[in-house]
Amino acid sequence: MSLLLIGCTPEPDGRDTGTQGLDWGFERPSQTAQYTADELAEHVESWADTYGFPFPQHAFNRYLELMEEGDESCPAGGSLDDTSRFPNLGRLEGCSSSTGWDYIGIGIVFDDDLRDEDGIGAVRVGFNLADFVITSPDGEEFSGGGSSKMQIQYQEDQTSWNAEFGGSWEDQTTDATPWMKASGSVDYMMTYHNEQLATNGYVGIGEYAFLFDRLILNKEECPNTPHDGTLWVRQEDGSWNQLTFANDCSGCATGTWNEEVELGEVCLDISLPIDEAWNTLQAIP
Amino acid sequence: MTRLSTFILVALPLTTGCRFAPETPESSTFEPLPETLLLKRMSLDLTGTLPSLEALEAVEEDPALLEGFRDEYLEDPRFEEQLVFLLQEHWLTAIDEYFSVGHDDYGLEDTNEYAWERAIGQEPLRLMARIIVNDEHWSESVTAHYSMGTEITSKIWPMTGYPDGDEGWHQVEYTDGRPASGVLSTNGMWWRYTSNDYNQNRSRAAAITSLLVCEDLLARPVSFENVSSILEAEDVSEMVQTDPACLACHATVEPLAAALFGFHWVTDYVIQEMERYHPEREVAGPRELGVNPAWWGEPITGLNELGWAIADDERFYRCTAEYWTSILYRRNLTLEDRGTVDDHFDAFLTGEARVKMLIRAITDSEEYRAGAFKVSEDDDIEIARTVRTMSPNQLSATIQQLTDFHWTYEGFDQLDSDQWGFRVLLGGVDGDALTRPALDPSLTAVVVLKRLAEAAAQKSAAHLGTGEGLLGEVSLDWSPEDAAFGTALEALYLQILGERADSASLAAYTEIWTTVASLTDSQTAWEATLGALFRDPLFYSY
Amino acid sequence: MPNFSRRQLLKLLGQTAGVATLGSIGTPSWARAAASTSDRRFLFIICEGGWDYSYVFSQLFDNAYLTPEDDWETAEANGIPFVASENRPAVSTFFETYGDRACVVNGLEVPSVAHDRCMRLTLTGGTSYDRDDFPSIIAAASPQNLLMPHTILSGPGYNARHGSSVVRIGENAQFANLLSDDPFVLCDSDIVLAETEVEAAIDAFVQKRAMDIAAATSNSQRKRFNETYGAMLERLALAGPELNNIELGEGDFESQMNTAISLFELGFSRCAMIRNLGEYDASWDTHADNYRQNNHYELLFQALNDTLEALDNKFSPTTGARLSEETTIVVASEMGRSPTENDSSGKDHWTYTSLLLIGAGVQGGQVIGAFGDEVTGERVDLQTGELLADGTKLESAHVGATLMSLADIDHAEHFPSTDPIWAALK
Repeated sequence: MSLLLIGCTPEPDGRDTGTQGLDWGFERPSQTAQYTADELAEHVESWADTYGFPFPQHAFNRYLELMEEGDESCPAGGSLDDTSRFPNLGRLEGCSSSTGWDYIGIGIVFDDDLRDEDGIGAVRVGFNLADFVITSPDGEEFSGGGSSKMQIQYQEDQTSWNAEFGGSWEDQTTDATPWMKASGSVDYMMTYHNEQLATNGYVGIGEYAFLFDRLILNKEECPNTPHDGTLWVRQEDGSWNQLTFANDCSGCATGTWNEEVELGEVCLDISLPIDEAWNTLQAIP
Repeated sequence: MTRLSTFILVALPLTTGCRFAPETPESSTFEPLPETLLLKRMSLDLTGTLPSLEALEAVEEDPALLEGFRDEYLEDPRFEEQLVFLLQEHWLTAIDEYFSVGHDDYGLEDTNEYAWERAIGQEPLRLMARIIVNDEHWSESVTAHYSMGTEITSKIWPMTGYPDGDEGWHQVEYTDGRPASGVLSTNGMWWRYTSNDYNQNRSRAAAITSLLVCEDLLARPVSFENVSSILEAEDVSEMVQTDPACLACHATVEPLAAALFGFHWVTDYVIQEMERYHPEREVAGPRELGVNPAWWGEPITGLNELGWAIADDERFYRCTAEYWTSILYRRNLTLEDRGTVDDHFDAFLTGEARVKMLIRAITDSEEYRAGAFKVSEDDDIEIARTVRTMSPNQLSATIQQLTDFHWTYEGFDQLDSDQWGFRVLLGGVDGDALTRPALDPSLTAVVVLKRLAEAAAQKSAAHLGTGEGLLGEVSLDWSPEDAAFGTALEALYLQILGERADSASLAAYTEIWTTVASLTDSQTAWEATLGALFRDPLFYSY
Repeated sequence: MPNFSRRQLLKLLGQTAGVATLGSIGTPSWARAAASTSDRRFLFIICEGGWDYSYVFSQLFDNAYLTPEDDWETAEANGIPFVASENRPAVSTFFETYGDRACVVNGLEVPSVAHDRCMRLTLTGGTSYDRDDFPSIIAAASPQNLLMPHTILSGPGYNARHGSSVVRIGENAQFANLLSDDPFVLCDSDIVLAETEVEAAIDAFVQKRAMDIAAATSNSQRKRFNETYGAMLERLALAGPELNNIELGEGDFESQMNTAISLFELGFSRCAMIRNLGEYDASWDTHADNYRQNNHYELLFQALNDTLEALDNKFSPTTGARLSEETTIVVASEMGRSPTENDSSGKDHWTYTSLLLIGAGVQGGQVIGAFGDEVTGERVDLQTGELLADGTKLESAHVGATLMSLADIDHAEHFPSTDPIWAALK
């Protein structure tokens, strides 16, 4: 009879379930170097050729262009005071213009000319806060969420430019800048001073993800290639490659994976995007 | 049925899982619930609804069939829905407001507000529920490469895989490069447990340790009196890595936070930042915090490995056993429950970390099956809950099951929301200010139940005599003297309250029917009687 | 519903001498222990987010870590030194007019930096999930048969044993709607209310049913459930119609204060909880732009002044005394702010804060406790309120014990190892 009294509640097996850990036999995802030096160069060049560098000017100018697409009542007439050369967007509940463009959200711009009577000082333009979606008559969206600053600093004997750019920006409308078409996520600073352009920050565009780690270009000595600093390049498995430039103008960097595995010399040709960078950075509205 | 044949029946194997459990063991502490009431408890806990009349009658006839019904409930489609609400009591993600962003930020109509809120907050809950229902190893909850989305989130978030033109919850995958980490990779998780530039994902790290391994770092006292020169420090964030008083928590928090920077938002309250993962920011974690990612001292590569580190951590499974025990026992656990949790944990591990096995073990236990204490004391309610109050979703699901009445208001499920609804008034959890269900009847709950009962009874009474619904077979021509009247009343009582009416109860309900009929008419009397049944404490409790 | 006149209602609510003859009605048997004999009411105001005590409560002008704002001045009124400013005149008005009824407690330690944990500590005296908050305990011990013993108009609440004493009114007046003539206004379906007589008959039936089952069972938890359920229905039957006399919508802070006063005046509640989020509901959690604390305080103290004036001119429904003589106001914040500023001109979390007690039973005109050189809490002599190097570090459990004493509840039942701040009690 007792044989029939088969319970089905699992019997404890007497295992010590203290701190010994378990062994389910999981195979954790592993990370390995995905690129050779040449492939890494190709990857970076591909990004540079396809998308170029994401500048706040791209987003800001696009915003200005598309703000012109509405009519007198939409997007204009929003709740924000308009105290700059550039329109604010204040349409928390959204509006539809007679031209077919729709606007929702906010775009709080700043436009400060802080120069003194001698012309010394800064001119700053940008978004204090952008959080908007602008939709074309065809249903394509330009969407921005973040902030930006574009600044020219005038001094007696020189001028410098700098940019700060953060947030997520996407533009599916016609004639969109390529990096916004692919959807960009940015958090970086960039300064140009004494002939040097320095970048520091995080940039994600489409499938590309980079860290610009004090990457420096020298306009005088090496205008077409990074001069110093490190460009970090993310792989699909979440690990990172490093291209460390050695303060020369060889156009080549020392490549490593995970800061430990040497990949060899990585030589880049990204002259075209760099030219564009010089020009764009100076083009502050 | 003889005891021998009962044993033989118990010994026969069935195809789906482990169907048989011992009869409720003889307990020194508890009187067990009668089988029909235990069936009611299991049905409400596992499906959110009452057992069918047929099931009640079958178990009444043959109590050994109870276990079979319990196993059916674990395979019932309503089990997945019920899991979402049970899991909410621990995970607290289904809130009504998300970090100052709203449905209108997406241009959605107000009638979509509730659906939008739940599409976000239920995402991690639905993922876990689906894993449980599919009988997957519990590690899947932190390593899955997929998530769950609705017709709303699949359109507004970077997701793929949602069936075109469909509605409801379906498996999806994110397309923004976030790693496969189950709930740790869901927007629903991080829209609930937010962070900002000052906090740098530390609160998220604390949420992970509390929710997944039951290590509540925030419960540890923090005393600035013991921290040397915190006011002198130029950089307090450096102190968290050097000062012993800070390191007690931060030795764990900082490396864990460092793994979460893909979810770092550079601008707060902006949907464009919040809805996507930022792979390029992953490397910001170690750089900003000055430590490499690690899980309780074990180095990891980042979020992509975090889920696996958790899945390898025994505490993850013990914590799961712990909170499921608390959820199904309907009370907070104490140190004295350690042995009980150990037993359930063992069963969970032996069951290859399938949550259904864990739930079986818990619902087999003495305390779960307890109907009363053998010796009652005033404070025994703090030891075990032998009488439980229906939760808001159980009320809602049960009323819908019985009457098709669903209390909605302009897109809101009124028993599952708080902006216009009655969730917290009914003792529910809002996930934010209220994190534990109210377990005793309150004034507001009684009022909500009253109105719910009135509305549901009215809807049901509209089908009186039509062959549909609870009153479908009732005739307006019956009077209390008719045998059919008594039979119908008995059946209603059994179906709604889960137990046979004694003569006093039948007499009481007959009397109220008569009273109302004398004031109005037969239809109103049946409606009122039904409404009274829905307000009966034996309906509201189980 | 039964139709009681206001006179009958007031009589039913009973007198306070000794044990109320009708005190057992509407109170479940399990909750009748530890009843107090006091009529005192409590209004809790939680300034959510963490206030900066240096703006009002503590003159830290010489502190090495704190930089006073240019508009701050030292001031004193009714024996209370405070920080005054032309930008917050309501603060000065408060101390000048009501300072003799107010006790400031400084240097209260709340040992956490997480908002939700600090809030639980502040309102329950501990971190355990098995603790009820102070207003729930006080409300549950009321000798009166109150419809809504503790009403949460907004803000937090923590319950383990005393949930049945707590009434949440809902974000958009849901509770009031359910009791109104149109209870299904928030329902898509068209539901027709039953006739009054039918509704009353069913209400009475359900209540009797609950009590009959309770009487017939030996299962203590079944008895408890049913008695509680029946008690709720009884409360509703006795006093439900009177609820139409007050606005129970959430409203803004000022209107919630007025609602709380009405609840006290009509004898519905012993305790009320209101959350204050400052100007524009921006929260007191000023990690950036700490100067916003100024306007938060100004609005808070404006409301306090108005409330105290109202309480002076309203009367208890049972004793006929001015409500101000029977009401204690507790103004708290779950944490403080660091003395030093961060890079965003804000201040971060600090584990020391202040508390303001006003009114009935409070020894006014004093400050107890202080912030030391490191802006941590100084120790005090609980008896005298004086600073004492080897005295007691003030924590929220001391506040809890103090409030129990004010409510005429044996504090040792809830805080067995903590004494009240005796010096704060009259």
